[in-house]
Parts: sequence; C-alpha cells; structure tokens
Amino acid sequence: MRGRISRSSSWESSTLAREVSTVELPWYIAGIIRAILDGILMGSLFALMAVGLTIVYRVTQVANFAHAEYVTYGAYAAYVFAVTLEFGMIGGAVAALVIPGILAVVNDELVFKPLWRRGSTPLHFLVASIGSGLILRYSLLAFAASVATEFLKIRLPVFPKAIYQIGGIVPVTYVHLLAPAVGVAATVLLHLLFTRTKLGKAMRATASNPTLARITGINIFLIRRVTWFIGGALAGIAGYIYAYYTPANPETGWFFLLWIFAAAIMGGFTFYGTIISGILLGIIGNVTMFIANQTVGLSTSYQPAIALVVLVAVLLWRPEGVIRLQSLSLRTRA
Amino acid sequence: MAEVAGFVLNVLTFYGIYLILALSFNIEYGFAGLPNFGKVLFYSIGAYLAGSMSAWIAVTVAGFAEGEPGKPVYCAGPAYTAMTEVAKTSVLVDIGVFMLSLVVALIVGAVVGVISSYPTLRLRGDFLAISLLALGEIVRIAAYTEYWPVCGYDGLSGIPTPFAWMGDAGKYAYTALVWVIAGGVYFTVQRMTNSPWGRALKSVRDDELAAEVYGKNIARVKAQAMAVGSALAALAGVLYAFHVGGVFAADFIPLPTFLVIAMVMLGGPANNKGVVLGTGVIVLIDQLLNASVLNALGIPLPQGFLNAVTYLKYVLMGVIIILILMFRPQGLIPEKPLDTPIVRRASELVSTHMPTQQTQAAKENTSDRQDKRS
Amino acid sequence: MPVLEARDIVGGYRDSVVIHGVTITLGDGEIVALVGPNGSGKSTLIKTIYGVARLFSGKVIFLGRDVTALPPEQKTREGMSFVPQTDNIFPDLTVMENLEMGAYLLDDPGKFKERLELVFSIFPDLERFRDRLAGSLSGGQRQMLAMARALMSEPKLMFLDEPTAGLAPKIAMELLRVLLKIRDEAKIPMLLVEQHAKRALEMSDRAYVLAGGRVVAEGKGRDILEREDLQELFLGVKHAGA
Repeated sequence: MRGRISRSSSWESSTLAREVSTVELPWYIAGIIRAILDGILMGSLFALMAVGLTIVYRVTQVANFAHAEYVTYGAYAAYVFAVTLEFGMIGGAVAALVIPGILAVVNDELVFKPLWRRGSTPLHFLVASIGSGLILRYSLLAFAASVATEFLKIRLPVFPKAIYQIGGIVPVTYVHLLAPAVGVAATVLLHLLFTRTKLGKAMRATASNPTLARITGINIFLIRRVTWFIGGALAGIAGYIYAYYTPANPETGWFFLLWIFAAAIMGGFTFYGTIISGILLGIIGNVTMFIANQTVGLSTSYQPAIALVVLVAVLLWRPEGVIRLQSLSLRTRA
Repeated sequence: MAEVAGFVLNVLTFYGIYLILALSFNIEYGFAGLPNFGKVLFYSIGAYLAGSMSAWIAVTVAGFAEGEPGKPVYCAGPAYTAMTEVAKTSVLVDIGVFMLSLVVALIVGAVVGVISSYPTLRLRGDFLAISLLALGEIVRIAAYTEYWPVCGYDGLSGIPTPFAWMGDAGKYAYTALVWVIAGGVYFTVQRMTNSPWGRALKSVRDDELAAEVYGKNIARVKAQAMAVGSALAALAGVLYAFHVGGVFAADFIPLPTFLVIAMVMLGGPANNKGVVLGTGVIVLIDQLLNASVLNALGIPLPQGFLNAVTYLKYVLMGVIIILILMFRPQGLIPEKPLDTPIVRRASELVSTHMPTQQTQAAKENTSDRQDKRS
Repeated sequence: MPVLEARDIVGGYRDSVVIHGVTITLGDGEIVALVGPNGSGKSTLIKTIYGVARLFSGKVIFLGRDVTALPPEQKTREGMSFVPQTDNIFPDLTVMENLEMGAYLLDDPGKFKERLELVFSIFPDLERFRDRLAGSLSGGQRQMLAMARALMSEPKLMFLDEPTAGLAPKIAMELLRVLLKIRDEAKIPMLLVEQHAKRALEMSDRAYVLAGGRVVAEGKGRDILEREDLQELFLGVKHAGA
C-alpha cells in the first residue's frame, strides 16, 4: 500500500552467470556447489533464529510472530556499535547478542507475561505477538524514515571478499565459515546448558510441566527471562552475521519469519529437530532455487515459495514434525 | 473544501470495504477461533479477479488486440485509453463486469479459502496463521513478478468501474453502492452468526473436544467458516479494485490484514456490532494518518513526522492490539449470547419468571466464558 | 504445636465455593487421611490450603507461621510439599533430572546426595531407572517418582492428592505401604486424600470425613471404620438390615 521499503535482494541464490563456464568446473557443478555453500550459510542462520522461537514456544507457549524482529534489531545493534560508535566487530557482536536479548525480555515483561498472568490463551499470545512485531518493525522504519535515513539500508564492512575459491571459481568467504561456526557453538553451549546446569534443566522442566515446575519451587519468572533473553540473543547474532553477507533493512527480519516458522514446525518444535531442519531448509531452498532458476527460469523472488511448499508438505504428512525429538529433552522418547 | 469532501468520501468507501473484511475476519477469528492472518490473500484474489476480468472484457468490447508479447492484451500501454473509452460509453459493460466480478469472486474466494486452509484445519491455530500469511506473500510476489493476471510490476489501471458512465457523480454513487453491499453483508452475517451455525462455530472455538463429542465435524465447521470468510474477503477485494479503478500487486502486502485484526480486536471479537465500531475507528485513523491527506487537509506538521507517519500508524495499530488484549480482551462491545429464537424465548421465560437472580447468573456465565478465552 | 493448622477454610474455584468452612490440624509424625464420597471437596481442600485453588477465607498456620497468603512456590520454600493427582512428574526429563528438580531449592550438594540416598532406599526401583525418561515409566512408577520428587526438597510436611488413583489394587497397596515407610524413615507427616476410604482409614493415624465441603466426622481411622452410620453414608458399605 503506502510507502513501502522495497525488498532487499536477500539471500539471492547463485545467480552465477554462465560466463564462468570457461574455467575448470562446469558452470552447473560450480552453481550447485555455491548453492550448497550459501545454503549452509543461510541454513545455519535459520537454525539460530528458529531455535530461539522453539525454546520460547516450549517454555512460554508463545508462538512469537515478533521473533523475526529480533533478527533485524541484531543487525542494527551491530551496525550502530561496530560502525557508528566504532567499537569494532567484537563490540558489534556483543551488541547483537545483548540488545535483542534485552529487547525480547522487555517484550515479554510488557506484553506476554502480563497476558499470561491474566490467563490469556495461546491464541491471544499469537495476536499480541503480531502487535509486538508491528511496533518493533514500524518504529524502526519510522525512525529510519524521519531521523536517520542511512538506516533505511545498512551493511556492515565486508570481510576480505573470498578466502578460497573452490575449483578456482566458487568463492568461500569468512561469512560462510562464521555462520556454521556460530551455529555449532550455540548448539554445543545450549546442549551443555540443558544437560549440565540446574538452570537449563529447570528450563526443560518448565517446558515439560509448567504447573509442577511452579509447585516444585522453580523460579519460573527467572526461567522466563533467561528463555526470552537466549531467544532474542540467538536471533540477534543471526541478524549480525546476515548483515555481513548482504545489506539489511528494517524489514529484513520480517522476510525470515516464514523460514523461521518452517524450520521450527518441521523440527516439531524440538531442540535438535529445529536446528537440523533449519540447516536442511537453507540447503533445500538454495539448491532448489538454483535448479529451478537454471532449468525453467523461475525468478529467484519465488524462493519463499519453497519454504511454504516444505511447510505444507510437513503439515500434510507429519504435522507433529519430521525430525521429532521430545520437547527439549534432547532425545527421542523411549 | 473539495479536499475535505474527497477525504470524507474516501473514508466512507473504505469504511464499507473494510467493514466487509472485518466481518469476514470476525467469522473466522471471533466466532470460530481461526487466526486467518492471510486475510489480504483473499482480499487480493477478489481484486485480481475483478481487475483482470473487467480489463479483458473491456479490451474485447473495444476490439483492442495490439497486445505486447508475453503480456495479457490489456497490459499494453494503449489498452488504457481503449478501456476508459469503453467505460465512459457502455453502461452495460460497466454494470455487467461489476456483477460478474462479484459472483466469480464469491465462488473463487470460497473455494480457495477451503483449499488453502485444508492442511491446517485439524491442527493448531498458529500453523494456519503462518501458512496463510506466507501464502498471501507468495501470491503477491507472483502477481508482482508475472504479467498475468494484473500486469506485474506495472499494475493495471483504467478498468471500467460500475458508474464510470456517470462522470464525477459516479464516485458518490459508488460509495452508496459499497454501503448498500456492506449493509447487506452485515445483516447476512448477523443472521448467519445468530443461528445454530454460529453456535457450532463458537462451540468449536471454545472446546473442540466437547464440540466433537456433541457430533460436530470440527474440520468441516472450520472449513465452512473459512469458505464464508474468504468469499466475503474476495468480495471486499472486488469493491476495492473498482474503487481504485485498478489493481496493483504491491498494495497487497500484509498490512491490510493487520488493520483488520486491530478492527476486530478493538470492536469486540464475536460481536458484529462491535466490529462496525472498531472498523470505523481504525479506518478513520488509517485514512487520516497519511502524509498526502494531512497535507491536503492543511494540517501543518514537520516534514520528519510526515515522512514517518505511515509507519507510526502501524506502530499505533500494534499498541492498540496489545492494549486491548491486556485491558479489555472482550473489545469495546463484548460478545453476547446468541440471538436465536430458542435462546430469545428462553431468556424471556427466565426474565419473566425469575427476574433478578437467574439473569444475574446467566450474565456471570457469559462473562465466565469470556474470561476463559481471554 | 501442630505442624499444620488450617482454620475455617472457605475455598473453591473462580466464583464457586466448594469448601464451606473446614478446620483441620495435623500433628508431628501423623498421617492424616481425607476421605469422603466423590465431589465432597477432598482434593479441593488440600489445593486450597496449598494455594493452588482459590482461598476465599480462613487461615493456614504452618509450624507456627501464618502462610495463608503465600503462593504455592513460596509454600514449597517454607517446607511444604505437594504431590498433585495427575501431571505430577516432568515427562521430558529423566528420572534423575526429575529428582534434581525436586531438590531445586537445596543449595548444598552434600544435602542433595543425602536426600538422594534416602529416596533411593525408599524407592529402590527408581535407582534402576535413573536414566530413563520419566514419561516412559508405568503408572505406579510415575506415582513413586512423584513422591520421590516431593521428598527431595526436604519437606516438613507432604500433601498427597489421591496417589493411588487409577492404579491396580496390588500396586496401590504397595504404594500406601511406602507412605508408612516415608513417615517412619523420613519422619514426615502427611495429609493424604484417598478415594478408597477403607484402605486410607486402615493405614492412617487420624482421618476427616468430608461431605458437601464440610467435615462430618473426624477421629482415629479405625473408629471411623467402625461407625456404621458413616460406613453406609460415605463409604458405600451396605449393612445387613439397613
């Protein structure tokens, strides 16, 4: 309708042109390799984003449509700290973790916790999360449109273009390594949290039986805060990495919403299920897009359709999730 | 003065169109508990149908055939002139395409509504919400990328509107027509929701298990709600297309859906009167908080604010949705017990025989259920 | 000084009053049973005392402290413990993790070990299943785990809401014997809601008979068992000539 920011060319899959076909690798092999590399990159980011959604959903029953906004705020927090305030890349990363984390906690404290205390249903959480998403997304847009127009499109300073060329033509950048590395690190840390610490186990206990958790004396308010912080921080760091990869704008996160939900639903809202599904979706999305683009000339703007097709297929075939692991228990039920 | 008149006319027309949309969302969300966050999808389907059919008929009547390769004939530049010429002269075409669009949109909307929600009707509400929201976006992307049906990026304009032959007075006539249709929809929806069918919707919303035990086929009841809701949304889309006189795929980003959610939440879910009120408030805000309108009305505001005003409007929508959920989840006008003959008779009996106590208890009963849902 | 004193409890859910002014006390080392027909308000009473259901009026004194206004988690902190009738374990956690959660409020790891030994001595089966997911246990094992979990927090008082509901008679009896063991070994007084009145009256020290949200009789379990009028009215036992 009115005044819309045009969509950035997000994760545009390999538009690898045919002119490279003179080099050793045939162009289509090179294209597939690049699609897989980009797929792993995007898939790692989807996993980081979606696992936060899953944890929050499990612990608080909020299917949070505002979750994608934390991704945007992560990118912007990193931009402000790394570029505007010149705290460097590490400073940017810290900001991308902390600011969206706090934002998510505030979101819960102001919206979802009061609703939960007055006994709202999950359906009301859903509608409230749409409201939260509107506030977060459009206040950033309003700020960018009126006060700081450089915010309409941001890009973090790029690392050296390529650190290696597969077959001499497929570039591998730092971001291609950074995203999976952060993904693996987050997975390991969360696994340790959930299995080795009292706090993590209490989170799982709250997800498993909230009423009993309360009776047992678990401080469920603390658990809520930690859960929301982790969810926001993971989404934020994913936004930070994404902003290295390609320019971000205030609606960047919004375009990930479908992928985030698709990964969480495919993973049956379980911890490892969500992570694996996120990575798979990234690879499937990029490779399918490359093939469809090269064979039938399908425009890359149709990429979200792949996520929807996967989502609907999952819902028709196994609505409880394809990769099922019980709740956050990290294992299949005996 | 002309600006004010134009503004008022625009508000009134959009009020009528959004009222139909909001009533349709109320059937789905308010009565049946289905969060159809893909409202704009069905709205856009109505608009695409109306736009492409009327444009195609107009160019055919005009005998215009010099299309550009790879595009529908009506997307060619000169088609605009041919179409407006037909619209100005042929009353039959103007009224005909309008009627035809209404009928086709109702049917197609209902069918698409059922098909697209089929995978999720037996599942949790959030699955429905995300898949329809996504489907709406993908259909918009497709309509924006492809020339079929509404000329993609260029958009389609100059379609024959029902009162184009009347000249300037046509605008007033069209607003009146929209209101006649919106009124008809309101009374129809009132009748439908205050019937055993409305009770079936509410029973599915409040307790699926109990509804199933009492022999309701839950998936079918939900599909019916989606069919009616989607058909009405498509109808609203048709009215929108003929109001604007064209169709632009870029208009169908999810924002109208969010407006509609705000309307229903504000007015009162499962209360059609409440929706009338909520729609009025939100439409007024939506139309007023608009840089060009504020300029035209001569309200002096800093440029920075004007640049941000459309975005601030959606921030405001978010705030309204959340505040209403927190402090008045039943909306401005709360849900009432059904108004069917049996219920009416029963409450009459109660009030004549046991004047105070029983009605008090009945009241508490309703508020109880409200609380449970909130 | 009684361990628990609940005076003039009026309680229920939302706007409906189920318990109409009930007073009960519980002394040290006692097992007190609440019996009565279906819908007499047994479960509602202990839920009201614990703060899970709504308390309209009345006073709850625990070890001389007024805990009336405390929410359930605070009551747990104070040393009370509650085993709900259903959903009383964390199904997605292992048996061991369930017990750890039971000891959530214990900060001292030494104490945790001590508690664990005690619990495993009372419930030897649980030690064998320590790494199984709780959700995969059988009904009887779940009830054991639920009690074990409640024991982990070093409670000074335990509330048990129909621990034998839905269990086979043999397993139910075994479970009730375990209660005596808990009382004797862990020295914890218990307030027990039990559907099967005969069983409960035989094993408990004292009992309250509830009907329609009021106490209609109280005394030693065996005395109540012998009162013919009560047997017929509340325990469903018909007497010859009645």
